Amino acid sequence: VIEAMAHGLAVAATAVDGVPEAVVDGETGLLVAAGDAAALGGALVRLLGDAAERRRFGQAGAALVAELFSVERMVDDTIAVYDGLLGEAEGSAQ
Amino acid sequence: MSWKQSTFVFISTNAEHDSGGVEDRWLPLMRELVARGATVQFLCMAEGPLAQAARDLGVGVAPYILDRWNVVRSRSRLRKYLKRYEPVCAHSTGVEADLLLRWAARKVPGVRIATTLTLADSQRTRRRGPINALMLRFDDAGLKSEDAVFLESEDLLDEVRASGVHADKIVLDPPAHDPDDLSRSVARHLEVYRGFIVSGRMKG
Repeated sequence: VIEAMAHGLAVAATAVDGVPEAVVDGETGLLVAAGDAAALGGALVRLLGDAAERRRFGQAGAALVAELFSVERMVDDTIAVYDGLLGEAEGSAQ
Repeated sequence: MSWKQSTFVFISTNAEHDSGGVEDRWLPLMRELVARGATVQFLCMAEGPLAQAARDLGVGVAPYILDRWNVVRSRSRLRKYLKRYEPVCAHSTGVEADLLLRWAARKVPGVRIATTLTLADSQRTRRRGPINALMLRFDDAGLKSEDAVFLESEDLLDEVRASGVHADKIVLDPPAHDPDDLSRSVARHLEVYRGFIVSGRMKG
């Protein structure tokens, strides 16, 4: 899902696990309940019939992925945690 | 203690490239640590593309034989390894590597341990069976001994809190996306697919 969003594609997905963290219903794509095949079909038909909405979702999704799911963000956040562990190690060594 | 005096150890039982997987996401992290002058070690299950990619970054790679049927021996090996390299942090992923690391690090002072939990580690999606149930029980009991718990989704928060992990040890770490890595991953999969087709024709 994240990979599709990163490439500017509108997404129709089921609201399971971490998917709603990426697909914000009506903003970056369309979410339907898990197991609701009719709703998923309806979401796909809606996207197929509305090029402007597909573009809007696609642009918003790509922006969200760049902001929340970038490698730079992951590296910075993890390094910050390691930095804290380094500080603890220094403290316990003294 | 500076980055240059520090050693970081990454531990996983996975040896394959898996675009979007934790181990693939570790590669840019390893690159950053190496750039800061830290010593980085990667203990993996076996030689494979991931081990080579880590080696190319200047990471020391030790294919680590995780013996499922002799976990005491595996624990002893890992404990010796931790005592020898004295890492500031040992970071694992995957329930087997997590359990082994916690067990091995218990009597090694100064080693901080961290884990990355994925949605595949969630209790609801874990495989069933007596061995997995036992591992799950140990995993839940030991999770609160981690110094940092990285979660790839908010969906895991409740489970982790219920295991007794303190809030300030929980770090939300959504899966990082690297567009170039996706292209490489597609190429790798196509290569495997082509090989399959070619070998299929030869047999036919």
